[in-house]
Amino acid sequence: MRGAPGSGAERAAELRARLGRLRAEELALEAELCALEAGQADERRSQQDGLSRDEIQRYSRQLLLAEVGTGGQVRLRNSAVAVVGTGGLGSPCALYLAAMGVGTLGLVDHDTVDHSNLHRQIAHTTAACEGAARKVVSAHAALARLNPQCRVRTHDVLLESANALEILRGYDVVVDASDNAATRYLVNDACVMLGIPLVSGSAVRVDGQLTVYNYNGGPCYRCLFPAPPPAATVATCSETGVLGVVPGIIGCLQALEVVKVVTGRKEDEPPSMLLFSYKAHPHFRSIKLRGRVPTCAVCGDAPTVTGLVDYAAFCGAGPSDCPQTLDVLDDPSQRVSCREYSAAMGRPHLLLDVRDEVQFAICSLPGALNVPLDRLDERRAELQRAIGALGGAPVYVVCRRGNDSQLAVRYIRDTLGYAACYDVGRGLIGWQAEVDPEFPTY
Amino acid sequence: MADTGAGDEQLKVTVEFGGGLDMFVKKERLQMVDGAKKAIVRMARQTGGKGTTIRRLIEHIGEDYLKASTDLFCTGSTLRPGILVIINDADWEITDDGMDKYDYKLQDEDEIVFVSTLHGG
Repeated sequence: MRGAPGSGAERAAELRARLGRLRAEELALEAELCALEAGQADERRSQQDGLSRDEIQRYSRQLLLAEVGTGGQVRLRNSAVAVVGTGGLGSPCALYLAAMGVGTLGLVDHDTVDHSNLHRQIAHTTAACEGAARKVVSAHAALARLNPQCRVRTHDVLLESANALEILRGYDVVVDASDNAATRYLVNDACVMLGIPLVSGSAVRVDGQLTVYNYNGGPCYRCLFPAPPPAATVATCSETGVLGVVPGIIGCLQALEVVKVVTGRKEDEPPSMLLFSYKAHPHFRSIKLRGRVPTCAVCGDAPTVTGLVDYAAFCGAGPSDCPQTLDVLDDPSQRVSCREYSAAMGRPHLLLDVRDEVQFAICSLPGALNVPLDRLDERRAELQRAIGALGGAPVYVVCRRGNDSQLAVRYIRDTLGYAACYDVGRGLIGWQAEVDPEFPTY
Repeated sequence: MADTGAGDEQLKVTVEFGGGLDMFVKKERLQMVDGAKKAIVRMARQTGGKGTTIRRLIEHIGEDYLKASTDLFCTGSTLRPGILVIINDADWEITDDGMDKYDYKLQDEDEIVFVSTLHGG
């Protein structure tokens, strides 16, 4: 079946690259067309306090509800909602808001679509990934396909202190669909300063949370969490995983809360937080929350935070859901690169993989002994036996990114007293980048 | 054994760990109920002073029921930032009567939930 050696593979790579470029172009054209059509739809739109024939037809099932009705639908149509983050939460939230007839949606995201996001970020497509499309462009195309009457403003930038007020000003509601602590504090503070209700959702692993902040005498995010959590304790989707539908559930509920706020149907509800867990029965628990805290640093009676600050410094971690790179081994001779380990593989050694069992089962290097970092001490005797059998040969320690492995090297050198122990720098991510492109990453 | 609470030497509360905090807890050391989702915790009833406070419960959990890294939950009796305490379905700061929230006096059958705020999405 094969042609000249390598030519088939080369041709395939060339075609893949070309298709990627075409798909990216297709998305961009689609988004541009949508923007034009939305402008035309605007001009055709009926009076501000009524609905057009097309609108009545499209939203008829919603107009029948006492909870919405014509008045509520007009309010939705005249509203502008900003969605910060077009990922696992923002995808379903923005899709439903557009479908239900929110007139203007602002999408804020600075990222590109990635294959590892598609299991939850349902506004994006495999084709968008292959074209490395910008998330706001890809989401815009999805919203336009769903409802061309929705006007979409895309903000293809990282939301930060310097631009947040300018970007969010003028929106009636802001949806926090971000993925990190720094952005959550930033969005909260900006909403307090601009007087905008904030519909905040979050999801990690199999749990989710939902709260409406800065609304109707209720608390803001800082009232509840005045101090940020230590960066090391923050679980992220990229590091600890997330079940695809969990942010979907929370994102849909965020869309529901937006509808209630915009149509004025939430005013009688006391502040609450909704907790969702896969493990719990029933899955949801609602808790009553304190009201606005008079001593709050940002929304209190005498605020000390009166302008946006440096949130990366405040949280000890930047606006990303990627983990920080650790550097605990101060002596570079205690570390080898993936390439160096690859060259040493043929000689006697022990490869110790300190990821947890679940990650080890996804992929591993040949011959590795798996002892998770938090069980090293517990399995000390077993480790000592394995090291004793080495006859002085080296121990190499590997993990996903080269963080935990450094802690393990320190343990083996300092606690077990075995000096011929080396960290495999950059871990399995590095292995794929430097040695074996076919090795899976996750 | 009857668990009526009142008059017993020990106070009995239900404790739940949410938002991923359950991963730091030594479940095998706790009396888990309700499909291993909640734990029954019994503590010596303090009659004098401030009574059996939630501060004491936090210390107790920190001392006896956590895996290696207790600072993921608390330092001494102080919870790490980002953990919300829910007492009988309400935020523990809901009654702002000027009282130190750590001085909340536990009652028999109280349901306490410690939940870590989530940031992902």
